[in-house]
Amino acid sequence: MPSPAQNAAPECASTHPLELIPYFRRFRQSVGRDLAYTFIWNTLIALVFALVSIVLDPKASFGTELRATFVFAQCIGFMIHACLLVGDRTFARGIKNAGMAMRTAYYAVVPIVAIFPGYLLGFKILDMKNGATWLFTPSSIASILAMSLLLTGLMLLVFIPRERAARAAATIAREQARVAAAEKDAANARYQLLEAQVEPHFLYNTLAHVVSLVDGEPAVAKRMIERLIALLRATASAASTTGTLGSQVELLRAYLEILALRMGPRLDWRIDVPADLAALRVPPMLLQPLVENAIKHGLEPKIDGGTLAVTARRDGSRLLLEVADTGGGIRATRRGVGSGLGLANLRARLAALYRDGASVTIVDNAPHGTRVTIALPQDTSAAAGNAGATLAAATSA
Amino acid sequence: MNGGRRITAIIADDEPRLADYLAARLAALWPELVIAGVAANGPEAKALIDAEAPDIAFLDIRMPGLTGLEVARSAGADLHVVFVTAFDQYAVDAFERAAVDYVLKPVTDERLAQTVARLRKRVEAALPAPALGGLLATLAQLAPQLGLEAGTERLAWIRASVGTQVKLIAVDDVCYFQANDKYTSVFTQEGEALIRTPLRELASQLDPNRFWQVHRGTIVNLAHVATTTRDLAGRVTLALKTRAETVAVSRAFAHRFRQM
Repeated sequence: MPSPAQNAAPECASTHPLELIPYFRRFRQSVGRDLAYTFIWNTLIALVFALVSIVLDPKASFGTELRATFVFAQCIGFMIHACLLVGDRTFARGIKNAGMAMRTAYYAVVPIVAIFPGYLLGFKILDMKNGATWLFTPSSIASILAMSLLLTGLMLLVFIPRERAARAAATIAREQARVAAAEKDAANARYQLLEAQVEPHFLYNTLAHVVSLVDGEPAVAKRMIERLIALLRATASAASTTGTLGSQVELLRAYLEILALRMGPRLDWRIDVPADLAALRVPPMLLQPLVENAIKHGLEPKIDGGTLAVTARRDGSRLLLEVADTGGGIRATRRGVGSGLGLANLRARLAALYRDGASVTIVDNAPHGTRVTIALPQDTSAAAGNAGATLAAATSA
Repeated sequence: MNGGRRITAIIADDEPRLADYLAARLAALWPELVIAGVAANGPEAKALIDAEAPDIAFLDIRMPGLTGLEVARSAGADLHVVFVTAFDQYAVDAFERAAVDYVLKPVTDERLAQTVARLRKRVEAALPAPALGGLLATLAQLAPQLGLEAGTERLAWIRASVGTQVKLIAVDDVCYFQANDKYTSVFTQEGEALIRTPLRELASQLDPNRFWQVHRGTIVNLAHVATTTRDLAGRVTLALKTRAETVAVSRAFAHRFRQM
């Protein structure tokens, strides 16, 4: 399992060779950590070289060999570290944008260049007068080149996979951002449409009913027009203000009375909202989409229709709003994208208003149909209510 | 000529008052037409057409059971279909292009009179009904705009037992699915639920562009992936946006997370 630090730091330029050892991947990258890592890394290399020396030359003393390799390893290691530190800072942007080959070359060349002053520093400290002469012989240069290329190779092992992961993550993030933006736009468009108007299909079918009723049943026709006017008025004002639960219920009542006239015996409905809850302020357009869903996806597609019940009740500190139907139920599968119920939109709105305080739960309504419950924190809605009431009073004054 | 045979029609509309009103207006405008029956839904309309073999069918587009388009598709080629719709701009455009009869609700006498005149001419002269094949194919493509569903069936809802209730979880809310013995675990922001559907069966029903199999036993919802990490050994793990644990990607599926 990767550590959180690793997830948080996909930056490759500052990867330390010590991270070849999994244990050292757990600490977050910093200048101090890298300096400490370089010291540990140098010491490990010194140990390895000292061991190799006494294996090759059994007469040599391990202590003397270790002292020499330790000094050289620290001098060379910190010199490389310093060069890379300066180089990374100086060419930060160039390194970030460079291709894999250029970066590989950079990480191969800088250490090789840094090795020579590192050696010279070591000779100075150990007071080895003929060191510089030895250093610039072809055979020493060749062995230094080979050694540094080996180390560069090891480092590539660390940062190539990281770079890949970082790029893959960036690609996925971009794709997600694009999809999210598109979905958000679509959701906004749907929501605005929902707010702004009664669905044309609903409107024309209702008017068709009025036309069919005018001659034979003028009283029913009149009632239907009145309900339609009430619905249009309520819809126009519902979206713009934080209304009361009671005003949302009035809108639903007008909507359901019209539908009951149209659907005849196929629709049976009731609204059960206690009077003391009707005065509570609630966010706009909470119940309307749920009722439209219940009609459109639950009852209308069902040949025999069914019952729709809207209820509100208190449950401790929460306000529960419930829309239950005995329709065909939500089908497990659907053509097209998403659940098709616009519930993500409702959830997003509630999350924006209440964070984790509100919830939307959907369950099968036994024996058939669907029940959607919105739970709102009561204190918050009461507080919003007070604020809303104050605002309303201020506006009307 | 029809040799005195009565011309018959059926009407299908899930709102009975509208069907009755159309029947009444037809009686006034075309007294000789016999209304052989009125259907209240798609299957009834289909049965009525099969039983009565009418010359003409007035079909509402949105009906329970079967849509008017589906009923028309299943009928014989000699049936003259008139679509009746309240508001389907896309369908109306298609009808116009295909010269197929339609009337808009609320039905006006003027418009219905035109339709009746055209139908009379065609049926009495025994002219063939306009072919619906091309039109229905066009409309099938327009189904989403018509509010009718189309495309590949995809899983949209997971039914999971939680206590005595059956909870419905939208697949969009699922972070990932994990095979778990005989069950499949469904992980969401809220927690974990168990379902009996095997992972392999789920895989075939999910949208492959949004749900990726990342392991023999894991399908992840891409929208819930925060970052991917590849370690030295090439193992890829996914961090999630709304859950603390990480998800392992097996070697067989790791290529999907390579840089592009």
